[in-house]
Amino acid sequence: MEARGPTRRTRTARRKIGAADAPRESAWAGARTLAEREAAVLAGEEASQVRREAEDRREVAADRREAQADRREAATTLREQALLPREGKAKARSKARARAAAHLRRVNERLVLTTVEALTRTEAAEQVTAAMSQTAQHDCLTGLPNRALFADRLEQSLACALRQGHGVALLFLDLDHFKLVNDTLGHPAGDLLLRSIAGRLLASVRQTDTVCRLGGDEFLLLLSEIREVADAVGTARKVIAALALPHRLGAHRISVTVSIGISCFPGDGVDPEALVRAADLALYEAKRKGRDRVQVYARSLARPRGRRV
Amino acid sequence: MAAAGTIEQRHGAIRAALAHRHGREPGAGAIAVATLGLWREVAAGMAPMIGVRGFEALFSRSLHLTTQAHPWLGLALAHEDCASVDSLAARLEAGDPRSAQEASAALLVTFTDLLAVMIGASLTDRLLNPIWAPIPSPSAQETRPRANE
Repeated sequence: MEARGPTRRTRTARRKIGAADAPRESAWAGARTLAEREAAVLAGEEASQVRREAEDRREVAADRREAQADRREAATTLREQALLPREGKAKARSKARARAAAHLRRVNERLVLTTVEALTRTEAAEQVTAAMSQTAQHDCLTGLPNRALFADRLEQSLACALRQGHGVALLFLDLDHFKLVNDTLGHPAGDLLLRSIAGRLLASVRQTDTVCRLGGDEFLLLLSEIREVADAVGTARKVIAALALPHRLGAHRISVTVSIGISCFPGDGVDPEALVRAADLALYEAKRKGRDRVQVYARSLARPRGRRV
Repeated sequence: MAAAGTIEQRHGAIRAALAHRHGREPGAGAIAVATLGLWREVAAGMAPMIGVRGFEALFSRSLHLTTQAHPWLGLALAHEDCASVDSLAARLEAGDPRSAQEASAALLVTFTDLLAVMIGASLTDRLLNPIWAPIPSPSAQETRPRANE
């Protein structure tokens, strides 16, 4: 505790002593006889006694006040000392809470970013898988189902036809003189023609039917549900008419014809291989007869006649 | 506002909030302003939870998904690596009102659905429902009796 100047108690005592001396000197100066002087002395002593007692009481009271002030000061000091660590703890807790919140936000942010990235990559992987599946089962030039997918569809169609008792037709198509297009206009023009043919074939059949490119200028059409052979023949003629319209190949416009062989389930075969073979034989016959026509399979065609061109 | 208990309720609340903000028969500009306001509130609500980058990633993903049904919105993504709410508003403003209204609602719905997948429907509703709650009109505030009267 730091040193202080004269205390309030000391200053008050000094003031009181000065005030008590004043009446005694005044009474002494005013005494004219011995008796008066003795009386004055006695009165002065009595006053001094009273004064001393009063000073003692004041002294005691002052001591008590001072002790109380000391205790209060000590309590204040203790409270201040107690408050310092409490404030420190509160600040530390506040900082910890802020740090925890920031950490949580960073963790959540990373979680969201990685989840979104995972979703994006999963989507990309699914797209690649779908593209691979498309590539594996479709012709890359025309986008039509390839031989593998066609075989699968044909098996399913035959199983369904067997169960439900309806017919299935297979149309084997071959463009007439396609080689001339490649030789005269170039392979890019030939590719354009094949794409154009694919589009027209798709437009000529039902959504439930399948159009397949076997390779080169050969196509297979699977009519999954027919009542009679005439339905297949009608579709074949529709296809011939559609393909006969001019095709725009860059700066060129050309017209092509097509030959079609038809086989039907169950009359011409009950398995995929037999049906394809029958349609191929019918196609050969269409070519042999002069092209640009439809030929339905007949058992007489099964006799070997040589290769079609 | 009661907590949206089902996906349909949440979607309905979003569409209602959007409609409340842009008013009846809005132009594309009003839809853009309403959309921008809602997205800013969503961003402000989400940023303390998942950070600004987290919000932007979710927004971009939602926009990407929404463009499958609304391809013209994709232009908001085309010129930026990370789509922003402002670029979306500009795109909406340039569109026709009907398409803008549908696309705006679809994007908000996609965002909340995606968020619900990540953090759960309950927390999603707790965070975002206050934003979908209708704002009291000034007249309603004036006529509302004071608590101490």
